[in-house]
Amino acid sequence: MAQVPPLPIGGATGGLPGAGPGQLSVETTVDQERAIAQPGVKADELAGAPELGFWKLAVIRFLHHRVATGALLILGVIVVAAVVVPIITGNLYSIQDYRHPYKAPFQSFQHLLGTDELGQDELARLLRGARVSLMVGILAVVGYLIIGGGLGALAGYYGGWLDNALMRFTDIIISMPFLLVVIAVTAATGGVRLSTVIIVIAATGWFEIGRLMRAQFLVLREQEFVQAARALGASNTRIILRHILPNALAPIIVSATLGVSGIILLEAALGFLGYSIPPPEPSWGNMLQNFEEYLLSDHTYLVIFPATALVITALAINLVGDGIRDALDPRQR
Amino acid sequence: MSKQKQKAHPTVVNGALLKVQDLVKFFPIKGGLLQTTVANVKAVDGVSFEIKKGETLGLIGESGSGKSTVARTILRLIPPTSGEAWLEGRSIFKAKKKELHEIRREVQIIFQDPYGSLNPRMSVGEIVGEGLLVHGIGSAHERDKIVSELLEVVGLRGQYRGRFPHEFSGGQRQRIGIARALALRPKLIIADEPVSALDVSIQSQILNLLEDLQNEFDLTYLFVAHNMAVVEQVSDRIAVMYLGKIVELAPAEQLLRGPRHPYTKALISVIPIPDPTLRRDQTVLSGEMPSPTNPPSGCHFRTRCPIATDYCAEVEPALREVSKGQFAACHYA
Amino acid sequence: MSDLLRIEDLHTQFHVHGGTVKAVDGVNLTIPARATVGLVGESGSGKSITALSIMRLLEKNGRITQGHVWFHDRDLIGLPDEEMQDIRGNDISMIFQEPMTALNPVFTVGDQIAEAVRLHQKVDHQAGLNRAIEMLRLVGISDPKRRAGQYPHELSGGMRQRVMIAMALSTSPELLIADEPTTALDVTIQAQILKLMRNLKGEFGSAILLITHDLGVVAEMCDSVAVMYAGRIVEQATTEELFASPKHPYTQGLLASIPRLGKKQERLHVITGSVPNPLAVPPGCAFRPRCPIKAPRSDRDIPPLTANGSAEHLVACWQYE
Ligand SMILES: Nc1ncnc2c1ncn2[C@@H]1O[C@H](COP(=O)(O)OP(=O)(O)OP(=O)(O)O)[C@@H](O)[C@H]1O
Ligand SMILES: Nc1ncnc2c1ncn2[C@@H]1O[C@H](COP(=O)(O)OP(=O)(O)OP(=O)(O)O)[C@@H](O)[C@H]1O
Ligand code: SF4
Ligand SMILES: [Mg+2]
Ligand SMILES: [Mg+2]
Repeated sequence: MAQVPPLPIGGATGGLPGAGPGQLSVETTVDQERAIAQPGVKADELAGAPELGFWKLAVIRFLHHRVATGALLILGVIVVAAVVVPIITGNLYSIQDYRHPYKAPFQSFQHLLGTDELGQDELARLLRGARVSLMVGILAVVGYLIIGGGLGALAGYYGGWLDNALMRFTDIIISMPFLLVVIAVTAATGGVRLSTVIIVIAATGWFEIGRLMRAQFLVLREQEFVQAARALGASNTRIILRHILPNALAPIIVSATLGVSGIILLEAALGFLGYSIPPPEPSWGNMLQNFEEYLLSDHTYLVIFPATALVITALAINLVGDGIRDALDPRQR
Repeated sequence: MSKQKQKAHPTVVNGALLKVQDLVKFFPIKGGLLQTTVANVKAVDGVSFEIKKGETLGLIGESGSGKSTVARTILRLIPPTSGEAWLEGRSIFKAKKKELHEIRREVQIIFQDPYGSLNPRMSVGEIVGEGLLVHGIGSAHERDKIVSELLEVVGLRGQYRGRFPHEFSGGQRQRIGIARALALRPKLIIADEPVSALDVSIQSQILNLLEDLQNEFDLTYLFVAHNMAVVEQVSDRIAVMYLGKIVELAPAEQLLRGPRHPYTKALISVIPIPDPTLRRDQTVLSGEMPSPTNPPSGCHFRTRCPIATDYCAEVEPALREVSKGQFAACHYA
Repeated sequence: MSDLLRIEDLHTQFHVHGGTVKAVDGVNLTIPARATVGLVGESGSGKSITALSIMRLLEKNGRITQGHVWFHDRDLIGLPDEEMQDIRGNDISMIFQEPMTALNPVFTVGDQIAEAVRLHQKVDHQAGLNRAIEMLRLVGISDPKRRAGQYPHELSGGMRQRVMIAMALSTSPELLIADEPTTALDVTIQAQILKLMRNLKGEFGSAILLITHDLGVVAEMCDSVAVMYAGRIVEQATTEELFASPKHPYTQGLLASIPRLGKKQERLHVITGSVPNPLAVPPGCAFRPRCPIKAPRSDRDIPPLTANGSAEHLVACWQYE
């Protein structure tokens, strides 16, 4: 890139044979005025727009989206609380106050949300449990995106034998019975561990995003704007990152956000079966493990709190996902 | 550098900017369990032509006759099956990565679909400036300036840089696509049906613009279209394609006044002419273009040819000069 | 000649996100019995919506807000749904640009034509099927018996359009509305279809409303032409008259700007600008921003479609006031 060739059109350096664009004796300004055939756009709005890149505009659009911004805020509070509070309170979540099992909520400041059957503070457990649930949910989805997104993109973009091989591999993954894998891996690694849970979920669940990504890439790589970029000499990396990926993201993001809440629930189910993080370490999943008992014994609050936390988090994540999807669409104003 | 290479290919006729020789492109149809090739779509089946510097060669033919495939293989957007193409004596198909990058600065493409050919998630400035960026031309500031100038050249406002494609009408989008193609100051522009998707009143704006730009920037065009009147308006010479082959090639006026191939004759006779007083004898061909997977033996046109003989089924007619500058591929032309 | 269909001051509007689209905004159009009337205009000018309004087949967000469509002496606009259903496909048929979307992919074409017949005539399936095969033969499909047993995707574009025409004509309608019937087809196939339509017209005696943007097709097929711009008819005349002496500046510009086969022009005429945003049509004459004449009054009042020169040449432009 050392030497700068003459500028292609008129302008600063490098003379052009003939006239510069300024002298172009053409009635080419015809289309300037009332030109817009699209509903909702006024012609005058077109001129003099501030020039921002796509991503900056996307952030602005996201911030304009009230619901999504609110959801992000809530999510932020949950994450911060889950990270910070347990640090301050130390092992409060596992201190068993045998004198006060099943203490009702909102009765004392000491146990704001009451205690469970072992007298453990429900609030502390809820916050500590958020750690596990969010970590599993988010890390496993990151795994989905890396494995599924990566393989799907490669398969869709390059096609051919690579695509065939990857798709057969996907078929194998899909046909693996998830629970059996969990049980086998747990047995092989000698006990339930959080990292094992995350890895198993990520390694077996990425195919949906993988297929979505592949389908998106298959369609988009044939689009004329991609061909145009190739004709301009753009590299594969640039084409993938700048042209295909931004256009492929919308359904992926929706799927990924649904994935996070799905995985939190999956972890809960695993916990219920005893294949996730064992007590005393709480997760929203294992806190719900005894829900039947709680409901029968009239300690409903022990179900309501973790369930509400779960629903709010899942909802917030989905709303943030919707917001991102909309923000990535330049048609949204 | 290019001069040295020009010597290496004595086949190049003086003044030919682009020479295409025996271009063949088959698309394999995969089938069966092992995805083996069961048949070939013979999209382009031995096409040769030259374009002189500053000339416009029109390429016309029915849907599926292989026009776009010719255009795309020349740009190496898809790999050719066999054949050769030279740009000013430099082999396009044998070019290594670096040479190809260089060639892509000199050959650009304009697409048919004003919607699909612009990345909806890039600003107009990014779209038009992409070529400059990929080839490392100018600083960010200089590039902005060039982009503004380019937009003015095609009859848009420089300030539109920060806008996104969906905010423009079909005609305006086509202008953006043209500005993108001009950015690298190419020698050859391949226009694949640049006005087919536009309204009549917008079509003439774009056709005039393309002619002005040709004079202004010394451009050479390969102009693909299926509307004969449009092709005639812009072309110096016209090549007619049928089922993967060029069946006739002649200077525009000569082709229209005295077509020699039965297909060209029939085609011209049935083109609706906006003049109700005109009464012509029409040759309405029966049947439709056969599948390119299994083209007829001998002459590809014989199944619909009004004058075909048994000989036509046996021997394939070569494209030969039937009068000065006029070539036709018919035994009886 | 008596009028078969008379559209009076038809208004059709769509409610969309950013406001109201006046897709059809005061259309007046007359189709005489057995005539072929062309309807031309730019994309988005309201041609298809005019046709769909006649058929009362608008999408949910669309509404006919005003006007009449007289078919013989019945106003289709006020007709109860069941009566309208009976007219559709029986007295008035329609064919579309993309036949694939209008044909049901899971039934054979023979069955579909037979069903169309049986909707309006009390015959059994076999009789319907026989009629279908007869119709397929009429539209020039060779080996109609075999073709009747095939599915739409097994046919080529041209053949599908023939099937659509066969289906539309199977009930011998008095009016056939053809919305861009050949736009998706190649020139040589278009020639086949146009020839077929000319021949069948003689046979069935249907009137045709031919919607197209190809002035060449109009010149070849139509007795008279209506030119549409931004939801209104701006000019209507016999085909010869319109091509020989267009009166509306838009028609004049349109005719001047098309490249003509065998008459290469040094420079094509250009109509500057493009069609107005359907959500913000300018007041007065919608063509004014692109008009080289801009007659007085055109910035305030919409010009009515009035006779000019002869009773058969209607134009909507203030310069002739
Ligand atoms: N990627 C592909 N894979 C398989 N077949 C293809 C591919 N691209 C094109 N073809 C086939 O090659 C033939 C020629 O296609 P091409 O697009 O070049 O035609 P065309 O002349 O440009 O037609 P149109 O006027 O419809 O654009 C067609 O039969 C088409 O179906
Ligand atoms: N369902 C709908 N909702 C909203 N607007 C609509 C709808 N259908 C049509 N329109 C609008 O009505 C106007 C007229 O459309 P119409 O389809 O009649 O145009 P046309 O003349 O047939 O164009 P073309 O040549 O592209 O087919 C356009 O502005 C169109 O955007
Ligand atoms: S070679 Fe034979 S079949 Fe082919 S175009 Fe000529 S006469 Fe027709
Ligand atoms: Mg093509
Ligand atoms: Mg339409």
